[in-house]
Amino acid sequence: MVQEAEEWYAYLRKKHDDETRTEIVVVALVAFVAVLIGAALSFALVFHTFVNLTYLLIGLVLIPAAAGVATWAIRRRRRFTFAELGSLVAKMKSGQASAEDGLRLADAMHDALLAMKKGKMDSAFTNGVVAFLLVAVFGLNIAVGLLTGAIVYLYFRFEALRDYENESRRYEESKKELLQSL
Amino acid sequence: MDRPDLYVVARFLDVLYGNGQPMKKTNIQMRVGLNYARFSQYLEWLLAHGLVQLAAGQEGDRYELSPKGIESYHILVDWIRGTLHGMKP
Repeated sequence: MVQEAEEWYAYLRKKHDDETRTEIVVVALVAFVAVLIGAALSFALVFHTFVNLTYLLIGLVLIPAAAGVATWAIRRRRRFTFAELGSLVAKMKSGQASAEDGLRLADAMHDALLAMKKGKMDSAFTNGVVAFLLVAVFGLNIAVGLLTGAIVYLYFRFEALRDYENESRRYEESKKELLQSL
Repeated sequence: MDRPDLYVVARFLDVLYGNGQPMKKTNIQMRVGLNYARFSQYLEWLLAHGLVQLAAGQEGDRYELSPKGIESYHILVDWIRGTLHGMKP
């Protein structure tokens, strides 16, 4: 039981770190492309001249970097969801755990699982933005890109929300059944 | 009590199962860390559900897990084990 909890904890931490890295890269990339599109639009629609090249270069570095740092900070805060799980696993390993600690561990693992599923809702937004960029940049059609992005976002969000609610309900019902069976 | 807290029930089962011997009310109350009113409610619930019984042939009122209580403790531990296993990635 302790080994399983420990493996689960290690898996969650690794997954969280991997996802954080991916998300930072995607967000920085999106910010980079957004700065480029902004510069192109300002040239085409407003100024009819290139924006100052120095400002553009600074923007291309600073804005994606700031977006990446903000993403890292948000993801880092979420990591504290796993803190309780870590201390419970340590207590279980010490061999002084009770059935109540086991219940708390199951709850903490379930909370971490839900946090992961909730994270998928954020990924839905990233997926939508990526879909928009792909269609808008390669398909050269911003309107279709917007529509595609919205559909992709809504689909992934719907799936993530359904998964989240199912897991939450399943666990609560399981606990209720346990109490009734005692 | 309509729906007792599973954590508290687990604590009672833990204390009585771990002790292995019938226990006085005061000792159980101290170990589960509840105020007297709450403790009495839970003890009544456990007695009503047949998880705890008065120990026979003991001096004063001493309580112990009934066979159903021992079985419930094992059900609880199995549930925890099964749940943790089910969440395994």
